[in-house]
Amino acid sequence: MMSDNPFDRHIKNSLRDYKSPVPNGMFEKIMEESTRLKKPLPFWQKNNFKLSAVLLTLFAIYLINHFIVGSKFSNSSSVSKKIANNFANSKTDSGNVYGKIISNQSELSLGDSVQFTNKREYVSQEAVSKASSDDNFITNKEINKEITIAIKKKMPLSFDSNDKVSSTKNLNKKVVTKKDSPFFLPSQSEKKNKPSIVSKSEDNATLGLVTDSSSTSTDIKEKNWKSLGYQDIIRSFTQLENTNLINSKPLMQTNTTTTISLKDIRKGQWFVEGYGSLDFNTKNIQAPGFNTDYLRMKDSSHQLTTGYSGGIKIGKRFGQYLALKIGLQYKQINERFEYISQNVSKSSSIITTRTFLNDIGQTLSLQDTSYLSQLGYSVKKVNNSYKNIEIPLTVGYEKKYKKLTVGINLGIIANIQSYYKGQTFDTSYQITSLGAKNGTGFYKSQSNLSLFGSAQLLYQLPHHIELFTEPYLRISIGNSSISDIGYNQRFNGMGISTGLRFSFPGKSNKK
Amino acid sequence: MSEYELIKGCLEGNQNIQRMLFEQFAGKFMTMCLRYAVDSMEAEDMLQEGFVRIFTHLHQFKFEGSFEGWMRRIIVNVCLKHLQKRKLQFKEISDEHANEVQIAPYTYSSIGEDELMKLISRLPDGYRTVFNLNVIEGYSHEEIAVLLGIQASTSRSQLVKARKMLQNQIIHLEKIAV
Repeated sequence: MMSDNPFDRHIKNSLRDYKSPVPNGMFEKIMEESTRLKKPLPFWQKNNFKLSAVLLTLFAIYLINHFIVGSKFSNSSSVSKKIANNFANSKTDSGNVYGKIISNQSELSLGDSVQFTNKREYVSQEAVSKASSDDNFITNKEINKEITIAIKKKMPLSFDSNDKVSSTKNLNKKVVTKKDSPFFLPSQSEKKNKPSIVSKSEDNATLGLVTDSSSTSTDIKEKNWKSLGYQDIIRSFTQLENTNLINSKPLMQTNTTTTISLKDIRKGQWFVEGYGSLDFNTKNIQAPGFNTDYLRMKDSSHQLTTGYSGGIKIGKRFGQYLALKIGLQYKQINERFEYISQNVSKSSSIITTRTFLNDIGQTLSLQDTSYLSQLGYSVKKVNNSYKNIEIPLTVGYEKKYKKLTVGINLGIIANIQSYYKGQTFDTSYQITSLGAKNGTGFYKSQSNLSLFGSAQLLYQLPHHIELFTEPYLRISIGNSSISDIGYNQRFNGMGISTGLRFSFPGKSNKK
Repeated sequence: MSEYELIKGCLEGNQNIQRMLFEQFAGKFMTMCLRYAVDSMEAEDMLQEGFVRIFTHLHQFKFEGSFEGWMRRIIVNVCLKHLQKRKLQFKEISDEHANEVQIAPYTYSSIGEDELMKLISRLPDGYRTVFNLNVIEGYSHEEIAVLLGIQASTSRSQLVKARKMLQNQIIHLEKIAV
């Protein structure tokens, strides 16, 4: 509480309501600032860019995880379900175990949900009764049980050369049929030109759409399973459906091994991209009511030159066509700053040495120093650079045509840190530094978000690698310049990225 | 125009009424800012920021207590924020003659406001801040302690020393005048 000291009271009474002069134009400044603050700013413009970037990253990770968990075995398209159902329906005709195994396999391969309930099993009573006479035969019920266990345990399943269906984890129960069993061995006459999803294999799993292994004519070219992408698998099964294999009779099984692992089914969903790009940047300056003379000089003295960027992205495919990518990239915008300073004075000293002989013959030297002051202009040439570390987050739509993949990508690029190096001039036309990394100069240390759009063309190379080129356009949706300098500057850009994409093949299944 | 109409007009965004409010209080608040600031530039920044806050937070005024008091608190907070940016330090300045000062009312009654402002501005930051908050704004030492993050006893000692230093300056000024 205030004291009762008369001195204090006197000071308070004198100064509490004393009015000091207020500078002109203060009210206008206050109104301008108040109006600006009243606008609801997007969260990325509230100086919490790092937080925004982290949130975006976390969101992307959440999306990826969500889709992985949610679609581990259910991300196949409706086509795959249709195929699976068709396979399931095909059993009524053939009524043999082989057909049924294929049916099960198709369901597994397509990643459909596990539906191996007894109700959906088919095996004719006749077939079961015949098979029961064979000591090595186990009914479909047991097969399904085994496969279901394998799926739940995420074990790879295999169809081995001895006509066994088993998991590679050596489950106890195995389905074995004799090679000459009617359940597995169709006649030679039936096998010709009949496509099968069983093919020859060496050590590693090989599944292709081929005719019988002994057949010389191949309707569908053999492919190495490992080289297939996710979309290839879908397409293969689509082709399989078209060949009406479902309703075809079982084929001769020769010494053939087919191994399919669930890891293989998911292979190709994850990929990583490394890229580099030459960038052509433009700047957009908006300065209502600002010093036009300054802006004109600024425009004429600063020329943007070719920049570059590079980075790495990791992505995941969703469904047949969609892909989500997130990464980290470095981008550098280059600028040539040439500024002519008028009325620059330059002083130089001129020393003249003279030698002469005096009366007695001695040699003397004398130095005259004069100073020369010149008034002129100087040309300042500096290479400015704007360095940015950014997080790109894009969603892509891709479609494959044989070895070519065409896609478009849309997304955002969040700037997480910017550094500036170089010089410019201030409003009093004095040369000054662009600003340090703490954003105290002309530009922000964290800019904002940019919208990103690109077209992508990929060419399949061996070893799960694709070469791609990607023309892109990016438009900044916030200012790079700080608000105090009076004008708003944004950097937009375009360029062509070139890089490599490596699709993770998943764990191979070796027997 | 009543205070209610003034506030209502400002809330509706009527710029004429906002200007009226500004012109009514800007001079007083400028004096406040000058008492806390190092120079007039800083005082202008404080005043501008203070009024921006007043206009943007006007809807939070609940008509409980004095409107001017509410605005003054905002201005004081802005001033203190600026002081904290400068890392306000409460130095103990030795004043050997502090206890000897006995000043008669007639000595300071003739000093004008401008002179008083100058004398206050010469006080060290810590002295000046506590003196302003306690003597002119009416904050208690406990409140000052919370505002500045110091002990109440520190606030008391700073006030005593500020007062003595100010009185010494007045006496010195009188001597020069004589």
